This record gives sequence, C-alpha cells and structure tokens, in this order.
Amino acid sequence: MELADVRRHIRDRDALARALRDVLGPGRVFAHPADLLAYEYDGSVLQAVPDLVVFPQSTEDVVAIVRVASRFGAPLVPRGSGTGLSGGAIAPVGGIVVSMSQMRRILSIDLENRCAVVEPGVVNLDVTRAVERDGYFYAPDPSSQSACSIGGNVANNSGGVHTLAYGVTTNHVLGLEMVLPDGTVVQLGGRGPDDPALDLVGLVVGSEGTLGIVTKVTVRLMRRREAVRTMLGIFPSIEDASQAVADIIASGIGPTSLEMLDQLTVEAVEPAVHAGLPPDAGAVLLIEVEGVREMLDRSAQIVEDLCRRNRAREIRVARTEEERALYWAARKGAFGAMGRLAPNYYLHDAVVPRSRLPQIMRQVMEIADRYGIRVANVFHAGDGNLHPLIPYDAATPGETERVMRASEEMLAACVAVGGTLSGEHGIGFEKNNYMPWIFSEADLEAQRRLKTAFDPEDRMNPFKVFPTPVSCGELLTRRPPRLAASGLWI
Amino acid sequence: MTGTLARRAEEIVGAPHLLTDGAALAAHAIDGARPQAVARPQTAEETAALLQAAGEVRAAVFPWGGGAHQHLGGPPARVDLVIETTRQTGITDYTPADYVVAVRAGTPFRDLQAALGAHRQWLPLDPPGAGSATVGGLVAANRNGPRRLLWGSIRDLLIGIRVALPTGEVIRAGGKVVKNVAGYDLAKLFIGSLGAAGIVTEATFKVSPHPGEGQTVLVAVPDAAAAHALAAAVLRSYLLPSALEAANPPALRRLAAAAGIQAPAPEAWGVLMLVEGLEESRARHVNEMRTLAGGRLEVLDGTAHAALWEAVSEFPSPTTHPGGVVCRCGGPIARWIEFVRALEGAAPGIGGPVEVLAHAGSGLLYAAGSEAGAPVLLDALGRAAAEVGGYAVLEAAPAALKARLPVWGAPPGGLALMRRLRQAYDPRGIMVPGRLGWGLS
Ligand SMILES: Cc1cc2nc3c(=O)[nH]c(=O)nc-3n(C[C@H](O)[C@H](O)[C@H](O)COP(=O)(O)OP(=O)(O)OC[C@H]3O[C@@H](n4cnc5c(N)ncnc54)[C@H](O)[C@@H]3O)c2cc1C
Repeated sequence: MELADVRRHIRDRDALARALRDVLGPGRVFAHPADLLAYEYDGSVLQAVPDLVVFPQSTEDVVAIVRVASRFGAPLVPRGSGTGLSGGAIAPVGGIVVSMSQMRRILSIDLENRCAVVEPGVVNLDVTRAVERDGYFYAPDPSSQSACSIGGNVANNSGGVHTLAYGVTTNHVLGLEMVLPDGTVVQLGGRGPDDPALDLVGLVVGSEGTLGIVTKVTVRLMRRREAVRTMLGIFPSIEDASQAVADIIASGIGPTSLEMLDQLTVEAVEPAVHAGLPPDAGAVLLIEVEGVREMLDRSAQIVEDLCRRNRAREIRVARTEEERALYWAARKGAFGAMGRLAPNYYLHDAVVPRSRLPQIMRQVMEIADRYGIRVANVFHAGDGNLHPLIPYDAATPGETERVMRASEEMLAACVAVGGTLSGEHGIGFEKNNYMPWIFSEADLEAQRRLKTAFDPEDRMNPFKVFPTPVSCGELLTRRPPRLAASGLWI
Repeated sequence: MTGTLARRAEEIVGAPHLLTDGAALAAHAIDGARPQAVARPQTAEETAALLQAAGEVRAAVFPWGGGAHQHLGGPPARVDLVIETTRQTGITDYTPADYVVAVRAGTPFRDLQAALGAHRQWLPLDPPGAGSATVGGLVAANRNGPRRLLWGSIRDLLIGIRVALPTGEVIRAGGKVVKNVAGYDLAKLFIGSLGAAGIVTEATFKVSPHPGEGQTVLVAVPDAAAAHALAAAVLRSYLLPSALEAANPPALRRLAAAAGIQAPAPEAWGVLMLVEGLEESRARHVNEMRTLAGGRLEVLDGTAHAALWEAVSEFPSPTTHPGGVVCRCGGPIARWIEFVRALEGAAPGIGGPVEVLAHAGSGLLYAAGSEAGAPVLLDALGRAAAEVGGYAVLEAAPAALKARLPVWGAPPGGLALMRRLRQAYDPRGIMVPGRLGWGLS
C-alpha cells in the first residue's frame, strides 16, 4: 500500500479554501503550491505537502477553522515552529496545516503564584526572557528553545538539558485551553494541585496534536537558583564518563545537568564554537549544579572527585558567564555542527535504563561499524536518553535507507534492554510502526480509546503515533534540510 | 450480586480467597455499605478476569488496597464486589543504579520504602496513611504529602503502570525509563481515579538517593497574614526547602504535641520549613530563615523533627481528627490565604474550632472540623475556591453527612470529555458507582 491510497481526499479544495478565507481573510490561508512548500517539512527527515495552510490569530479563529474543516471532512495538522524531529507537523495523508505562529502573545504573568498564561505559538525561550529579570524561569529547555513553540512542547512533552532535575513539559503545564475536533472549546486543569477531576491536562500533554488544538497554556514558573556551577569533565572514554554519571547521581547532590558529547561530536562542534574542547578526548561530560551558594563549593568538589576517580584527565569550571555560555554552545550547537560532517543527519532519541548506557553505547558503535556509517553521540546521559546523530548525504542513492536501517537496529537494541522508543522527540509518523515493539495490541487499543473519546472521526493529525498500514519510507527527503538555511541549528 | 458472579469469582481466585463471612464483609464496608463478597486475586490476570465476570452481570466493583483511603469520594450507590490487591505484593524490578523501581500494587508502601532504604534510596513521597496504604492505593487515591514542594507528587514520579481494565484486559502504559514519550501518557488516567478507570496491578516509579536526616525550622507568628507573608518571603528567596507549611493555632498545637515540644503561644500561627541535603545548605536555610523571621525561631532535629513531619503527613487522615470532617482545597500557590479568610468569615456558622494546615509553597490547604459545622465549612471553602479559581472537596465525613453535601465541589472544565472517557474505559459502568464527582461514576 502507498500513501496515495490512503490520502484523505478533500471533496472540493477550492471551496474549502474559499470558506476558510471567508472566516480568516485572504492573507491567512495559503493554497498556492509555492507557499505550501515551506510547510512540507519539519525538523525530521520526512516531507509531505499539505493541501492548505492556515494562520489563526485567536481561539475563535481556531474554532472557525475546525468547523469549516469538519464540513469538508479535511484532516487538521497543528503546527508550531516545525522543529519537531518525528514528522509530527507534516501532513502525510493531506489536510490543513494549522500554523500557530500568529498566536504568540504572553497573555499574563503572575509571579506570586508562579505561573504564566501563554498562547501556543510563543517561543519557548521567550517565556523565560519575559520573567528572568524578576528572577524566574520556565524550566523545560529543549536545545531548540530559541525556535520551538510552547504548543509544540506541550504536544511532544519535550524535555531539555535540565530535565534531570526539573522534569519535562508535563511537570510544568498547569492548565490548557483546547479546541476539540468538533469545535468545542474546553478549559482543562488550572485549578491547583491534585485537582479531584480526571487529569485531562496530563493526558493531552504528549498527545502529539492528535486530540485537539491547544490554544492557551498555563505554565509553571520557577524561581531562579541563586548560583550555578558549570563544569566540563574530559574523559578518555564514554565508559568512564558514564560511570562518572552514575556516581554523581548516586552522591545525592542532585546535579541539574549531565550531558555527554563523544569524540566525533567534539570534532564537529569545536571548529564552530571554539569552546577549547580537546579533539582527542574520548568523551566530554557537561555537568551543572545549582542551588544556594553555600552548597556549590562542596557539590563541585564532590563532582570533581568523582570525575577524577573515573579517570577524567581534566576538569574545567566555567569562571564567567561567557565561559558558561560557551560550554553550553558546544552542547546545544551539536546538531547544527553536523552540517560540517555531511549535508543531512538523522537521529533517534531512545532511552535506556541508566545502568545500561555503557553497554548500549558499545552496541551503537558496533552497529554503525557494520553499516559503515559514522555516529556522533551527544545526549542526556543523566536520563539515559541517547541521541545518536548519523551524518549522511540524502542525495546519494541508497544512503538514506542504509541510515534508517542502522538506526532501526539501534532502536531495537535499546528496546531489548528495557528501553523505550522516544524520550522526548515523539513518535509522529516516523516511529509509529515500531510501537508494537513496546506495546501489546491491548495496550494500543487502550490508547486508541483515549483518541476516540476526543476525536471519534480521526480528523486530528491522522497517521501519527499509532501503527499505520503505510510506513514513512516514501516521505524520506532526498535533499539537504531547509531548516539549516534559517540558521536555527548553528 | 448474583450467585453466578460469586461462583465465577471463586473459580478465578480459589475458595480461600473469596471472602463472604460477615466479619470480612464488615471490615471491607465502604462508607458503611458492606460488599457481598471480597475477592483477593493473586495476579493481574485474575484481577482482569474478575472484572470481566463482574461486567457480565453489571456488578458494582470497588478496588481495595490497605483500606487507608476508602474515605475518599461520594457514598457508593451500591457495593457488590470488593477486589483486594493485597496478595499482589513484591518488587518486580529494581536495579538500584537505574533509580527506577517496579512494584506490585498490593505492596505496602512502607515495605517498598524499606527495600529502597537498604540501598540508601527512597520514593520521595510522604503521603497520609503511609503506615497502612498499599502502593496501588496511593496511586489510585493520588495521595501526596508536604515534601511534594521539592520532590513532586505521584504524577511526577510514576513512570509506568500496569492495570486491569474494567473491560477485562491487562494493559501497560509508560515504561521503565525516566523519560518516555512513546504513546499517550495513559498512566495519568489512573492517578486519583479511585479505581474508576481500572485496577492498578503494578506501578513503576523514579526513585532518588535518600537525602539523609533533615531539620525543621519552626517560626511562630501572630496571625495568618504574618504566616502568609513569611511563606511568601521564603518563596521569593533563593531557599529550596523540601516542605513549607503554615498551621493555624489548633493545628500548630497538634503538631507541637506530636513532636513533643512545648506549644508556642496559644493564638500563634506556625510556619514550618523542612530542610534536607548538604549540611552547608541546611545551615544557610536556618540562618536566612532567622533573618526573614526577625530572629525568633526554633530548630528541630532527630526524633522531634521526624515526629513533626509524620504528623504533618498524617494531618489529612480522618483518624487524626475527632470531628471527623476533613476538606482539601487547591488553587494558585499564594492564595491559600483566601481559604483561611473565608473560614474566618464563616466562623460563627461553623461553630467549633477548625484546624488548618496549608502546604504553603504548593497551593494546597487542609481544613478539619466537626460534623455540625461541616455544611458551612464546605460552603465557605467552595466560595473561596470559586473566587481564586481553585477547588474545594470534602475528603472525609460520616457517610450520612456526605450524602447531603457537595463532596466534589464545582464541576471542572472538560466534564463532557470526562464522561466520554468513563464510557470508553468502563462502558458498563461497573466501577465505583457513586464514588466519583459530577455523576462520573
Ligand atoms: C536543533 C534541535 C534541537 C532539539 N532539541 C530538543 C531537545 O533538547 N529536547 C526535546 O524534547 N526536543 C528537541 N527538539 C525537538 C523539537 O524542537 C521539539 O519537539 C519541540 O517541542 C517542537 O516544537 P515546535 O513548535 O517546533 O513543534 P512542531 O514541530 O511544529 O510540532 C510538533 C508537534 O506538536 C504538534 N503541535 C504543535 N502545536 C500544537 C498546538 N498548538 N496544539 C496541538 N498540537 C500542536 C504538532 O502537530 C506536532 O505533532 C530539537 C529539535 C531541533 C531541530
């Protein structure tokens, strides 16, 4: 079966576009092929052209769009900033992409109660920017935080480089406003902790746009820590660094970040960032501890001892804010730096039990060798969340398929040791056919009941999350990513 | 319940584990309503088979763990079959280096903590009823304690779940790793569901290194406004306490008595801060609190400290309060004071004393009073909830009183969706009839 066989054909696309223009005005409905091209991709290696793209500016607009779409039987694909890495924001079976990029107001900030209400198109980092002068921040900080949207974060339950201490998006969303596929607007949660009602907020976070369109998000704000110490441990091998990770966690000091970069990553990143990372280091561990000033010296000492005990050859401590920013630039710029190795890259984000990290890293490298590909590992070591980045050239025939097969083997190895398919990037239309690796038919059926209760006609982001009769192979891109041009990844 | 069901149940669990004698039924009465049988399945599959059988005859099913939190919820419409999980015990997966533990639902919470403690780890929950509750019961009742301020609640710590669904399947959701976005976060459906969505048979949690001994900083202040101001000052500071409580005078007296310390002035409110972690950090907390509080404070450690926090955790337990009535209120973090004001305003109507304890850094408040004052108490809290955009529920009261009061407070947003979910997961409506709010069961 091919995607063409399952495409949701819209009865009268021109009439649909007209109906949408009637409610949104002409400038906020894209129908021309040239305009649609920019919406055929997201941050993943997949591409599919939607039928239309619309730009709501309010909840009322979203309601109107949903109603019109319903009349025409058109699927809806919500889209934030399009940085998602699993094809969640593309339209594999056609439909209307609903871009939330014009709903980007911060509606209210309430520091006393530590929350803010924002529209879904607000860029993640802008939330922290709005409150940092007052000493607060929004904790989930994906490496894409200068571009990705809060709505996308909610849909993917995104994590970040401080997830180890602060958790992921679901731990920081207090309430939601959402438009259901039948056009109803619901206010979910937001009444305080341990709400006696069903936790619909918790069910919607991580649902990848398949249950409805989120139109407002109440986020938790956190008080900034008094002091932070950022360190780099330079290790001879990933094994040593992994053991240091285990020991630092066991010490109970509660580090806020434990991020690993392997040698190939350092090789790619250093020429771009100039963080002074030694090109011959087997692994670099970025460690951060935060808290009251009095505890930092002691914590830092514990970290240093544990690194040395695991054969770190050098430990650097950031002395200035600039130096700290540089260390982080090396970590956050890693994806972008892959461009120096090859035009394209692919990655997945499997998670394994932490004690299995060294074993899995060996297996990943062994698989890479067998397939004759390179892998740059840069990942959330503290969470056991891998990111094996595979640089490749999509224009070379057969290359993409080889990379995907190698990646699939790596995923399978992670699942075999009790891991999961995705720690933060989502299932989308990329890993949905692997879902039976970790869930039984009954497990999936239980999840489908949730989907059906929200979206009985399957009009929200179809072909995502659940296994489908068609795989994503047809949609694999054959050219360098467009996002690179935007400078986002650098 | 028909004889058919009893026979099926006996086939499933074996005669010794189907209890029908008067004493067992009385011991499993829910708000005074006795079941017709108590079944004690040994596995998830047996649990599911029982649910399947109950579904066929539309019997009313109530899950039961340690019975520690059966006071929660509306009075049951009818009780046919109680399914007790206590034969499903034990840790199924625990590699200390992974900081993850999977445990069967009927395992006593304190046994789990003891097993983790052997590795200097713990599940950082300090719920009421910790002495008798099972792990599954805590999840289903969503019981959390004061340390949630720093460590989070069940919602933040539960990463995987195994459940017997009312439709007779055994399913898993989530997994055994600390970060996981594969599929819907279905575990959220069961937390706090009181069993309506299914019977939890196994739960997997993130665990932490144990922080070691902590200390209490206790500050007596003249009134609620002063307690609120001090708590707000702590929250504005860089301090990172594990818990931050505000107690009204009678609640403070109770806590002081539990800790075996002299009660502060009779009309004093108390602000209690729990500090854990490195010694340097604890010292800083004590010192800064001294400055914030203007000099007067008391530091507790050792047994007094431990006893005090146990009493804080147990505050919501109905057995703590001779008056028998306990309410829980939630709202924006700093607005717990509005609930206090509402209670002050309603004091004449309430009559007797009301004990108040607020998790002042989390936006939660417990109020305990007497049966006679309960209607006015709940009404006052309900009004304050509407004002602050929060909620107020009646957690514990004598059954007859519950039947007359709006136990669950105002309806939440998304109620129609909740109905559809109930229908999807429990199409025959067999689970906990009468228990959930707003007609959901
Ligand atoms: C360089 C780079 C680094 C990254 N680093 C991280 C990281 O550290 N951690 C991490 O977790 N992720 C990371 N990501 C992945 C990605 O940035 C996140 O998944 C992010 O949350 C996606 O947000 P977005 O606004 O781009 O969403 P999109 O890609 O536009 O959409 C993602 C999903 O959200 C849905 N959606 C969007 N808005 C709404 C809405 N309003 N209502 C309902 N559904 C909606 C879409 O349908 C889609 O399923 C990274 C990506 C890149 C390119």
